[in-house]
Amino acid sequence: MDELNNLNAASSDVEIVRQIQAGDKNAYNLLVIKYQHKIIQVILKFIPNNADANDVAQEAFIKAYRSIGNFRGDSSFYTWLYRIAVNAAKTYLESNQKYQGALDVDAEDFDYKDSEGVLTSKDTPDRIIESEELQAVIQKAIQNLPEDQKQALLLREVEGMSYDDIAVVMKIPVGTVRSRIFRAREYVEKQMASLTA
Amino acid sequence: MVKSTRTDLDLEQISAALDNEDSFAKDVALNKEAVSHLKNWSLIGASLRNELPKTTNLTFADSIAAKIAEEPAPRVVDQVEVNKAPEIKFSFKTLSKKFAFALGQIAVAASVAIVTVVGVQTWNAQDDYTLTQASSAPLGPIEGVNLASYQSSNAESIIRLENDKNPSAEGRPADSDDKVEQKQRAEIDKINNYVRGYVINIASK
Repeated sequence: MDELNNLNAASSDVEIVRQIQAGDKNAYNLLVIKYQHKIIQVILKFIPNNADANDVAQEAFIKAYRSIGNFRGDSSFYTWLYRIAVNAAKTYLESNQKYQGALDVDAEDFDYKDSEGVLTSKDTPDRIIESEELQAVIQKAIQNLPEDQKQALLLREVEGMSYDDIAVVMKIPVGTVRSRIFRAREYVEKQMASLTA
Repeated sequence: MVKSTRTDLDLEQISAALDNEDSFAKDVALNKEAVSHLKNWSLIGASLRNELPKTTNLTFADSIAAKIAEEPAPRVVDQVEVNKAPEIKFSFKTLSKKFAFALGQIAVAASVAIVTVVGVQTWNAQDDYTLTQASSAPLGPIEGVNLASYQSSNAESIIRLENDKNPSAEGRPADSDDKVEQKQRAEIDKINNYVRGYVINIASK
């Protein structure tokens, strides 16, 4: 089932890539929104400064856009993007004296495939206020969700399960899974509006 | 009947597309409302997976979109074009260069062959007939005619081509036919050696 999920993820991203290759620049924004947090997280492993990591992540996304004409779908889009991000981070470290020695970090140490078959990191850095505040609001909203919506959303976001798998686990139709996850997101989004507006 | 005012935007489909369970509707990336929802839902997911950094830049995607807008459209590499064999162009200049090069190679090969043949021949000739041998080889008189001033004093080398079959008046025993022929061949060889030696000697001067 995991392999099927991987195929779905890959085909969905490849579909967007094809649109971009056909000249639809705006479609690239969908991929940026989808993977920005993962990419920043990867770069933070190399560059422990949030502002610098954000700059390098932006650079990586721009580089990926410029090279997207060469993307043929041999690997998943995220795997391809991940390599570009790691290379951008290493290049940045090499050109900045203050980070000399940080190159000892081996990207392979924290490479593993998540439920979508894409590379991600094993652990997360400590949170500071802004993220903690946001996270607190989100957690509180999750707790207030109806149990069926909460379970569906957590199975998807935390466990990385496909809608089909969630349907099996919860013994409900796939369409119901789809609507429950959507409604859960809408509710949490409303709760965090004051922070994100 | 009041027509539904529901927007054409299918948010549930966008939510599913974010999870790779559906396709994004065409031009959804141009819809600000849809993009705003996607950002928030992506943020919720990152938060639940503990993927958020210390601070979250909510305008990250907007910054990249602004930069992408200034970029030229990506150039798709045509794999057929890449795999195509390079076209070979013929020109008179190229052909003449290739011809001259081939001609040069043939000339060098021919020169080497000539030098080799002459060298081998010379080497063999020197083995068989050194100048010293040729000039100093003893050569007896034939039929009493002295061909060289350095003729051997060896009496046995004197050849009587016709009379050696018979006993001489000097009391020497008559030679057999085989022995006579053998002697004749030996003397002819000596003569030939002398002539070759003479020619080489003259040529070397």
